[in-house]
Amino acid sequence: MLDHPDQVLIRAPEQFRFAWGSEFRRQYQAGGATTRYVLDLGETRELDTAALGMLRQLVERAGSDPRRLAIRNAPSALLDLLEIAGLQPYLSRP
Amino acid sequence: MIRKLIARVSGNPRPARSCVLAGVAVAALLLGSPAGAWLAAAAAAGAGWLGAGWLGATPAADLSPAADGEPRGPTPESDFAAWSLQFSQEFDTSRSSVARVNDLVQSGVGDLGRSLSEIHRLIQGQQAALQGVLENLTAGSSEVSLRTLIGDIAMTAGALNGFARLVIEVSKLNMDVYFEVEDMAAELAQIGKFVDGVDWVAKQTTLLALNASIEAASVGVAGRGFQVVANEIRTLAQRSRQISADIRASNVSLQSRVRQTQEAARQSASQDLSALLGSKSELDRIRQKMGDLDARIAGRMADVHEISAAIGARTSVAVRSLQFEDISRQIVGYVDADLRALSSTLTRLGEPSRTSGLENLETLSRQILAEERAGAPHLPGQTELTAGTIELF
Repeated sequence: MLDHPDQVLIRAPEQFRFAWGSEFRRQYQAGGATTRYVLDLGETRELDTAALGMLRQLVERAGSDPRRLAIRNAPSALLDLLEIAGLQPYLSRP
Repeated sequence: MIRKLIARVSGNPRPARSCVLAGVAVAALLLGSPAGAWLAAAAAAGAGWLGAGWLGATPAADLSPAADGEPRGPTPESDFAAWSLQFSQEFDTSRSSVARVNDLVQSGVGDLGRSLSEIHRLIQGQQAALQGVLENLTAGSSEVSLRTLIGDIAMTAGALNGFARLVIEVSKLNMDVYFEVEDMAAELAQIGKFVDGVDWVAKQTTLLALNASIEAASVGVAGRGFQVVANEIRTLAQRSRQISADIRASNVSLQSRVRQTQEAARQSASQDLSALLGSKSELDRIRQKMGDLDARIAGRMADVHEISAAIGARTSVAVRSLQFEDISRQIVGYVDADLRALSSTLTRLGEPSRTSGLENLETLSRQILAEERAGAPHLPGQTELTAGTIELF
């Protein structure tokens, strides 16, 4: 994956839950109107609905544009949740 | 009875010779006929007397005339008449036996045919019932059909998916609220800092007013006007401090309510979907199993159809094979006609006008057999019963 000149990389913790929401928001708010966001779920093992809601917020911030949002290294155990949340278009294959 | 009769014949050489000659002549006629072989076999198997009695039980030496040329015992003509009568009676007995065999075969085969038809009907009913059950389980219109249940499960799983999406969407809205309130809390904190600044200004103003009052008092009467102004400034400062206190109190109250709102948003937004997803996975698993079961039942239905077709074919073969009864019955009728001819021959040979004409035996036998067979059915030559090979009478 080529680096984007205006890219924000967010590495989610093992437990991506409500408590990490403010930090997550702080990180993605660093981007602007053309920023490309990359969310790395490589270490994440748990997602609650607050986290999925925040991911939907991130989709809105990226203008629902798969070119501006990529979710990578998602564990297979979380794929069902991500699919239900409508995030499948943003999942990047390794 | 026939064996006893043959024994009697073999014990009287002269009559025996006549009788053997007549029997051989008639048997030769029969063996030369289409039914001869069958009759010989039937007679040998059923009565067992034609070859064994006539041809085996009487030695050739016993058939020669007496040395002195004189007849021994009764005359040949009278003996022949008596034996002919007895043979005729025995043939009638044999015909009666053949008729009973015919009746038994006809009755047995009839029962067998009806049983086969009933079995076929029952199997068809069983197959229809089984097929109905399988169809109801798979694609029937019943509300409990397997495919209906699979559809219901799929619909339920879809509803769970929709519900999960709704929960996630609600969580997003709650997070929107949470972050908005979080921003509001930050602004409230900023307002608190502003109030602190106003408070500091009011405090400094009060000090300033106090100093001004002191300075006004030190100049005496000339400072009275300034004293009034200093007092008013101090009053305004106190009023300002009171307003700041009110704002701070409101700010604290607002911050408390903001925290409550944030907590409500957090509780509403943060839900564990694992139980919901577990239920959905279980439904998917059940649906998969029911789909497999549906496929297996469909396979069994194909087996049922195949077995049904095979049963139908085998039943048809069995029913067709029962036509041997018809053939056998006609063959027996033919044998009966032969026996009747033999009986008639012997009876007519025993008549007084015939007893002296043994030389006419062959001619008479041919005549009677021709008469009897004139009305007899065609004897089928069929030896097997396969499809398309049934010989009609």
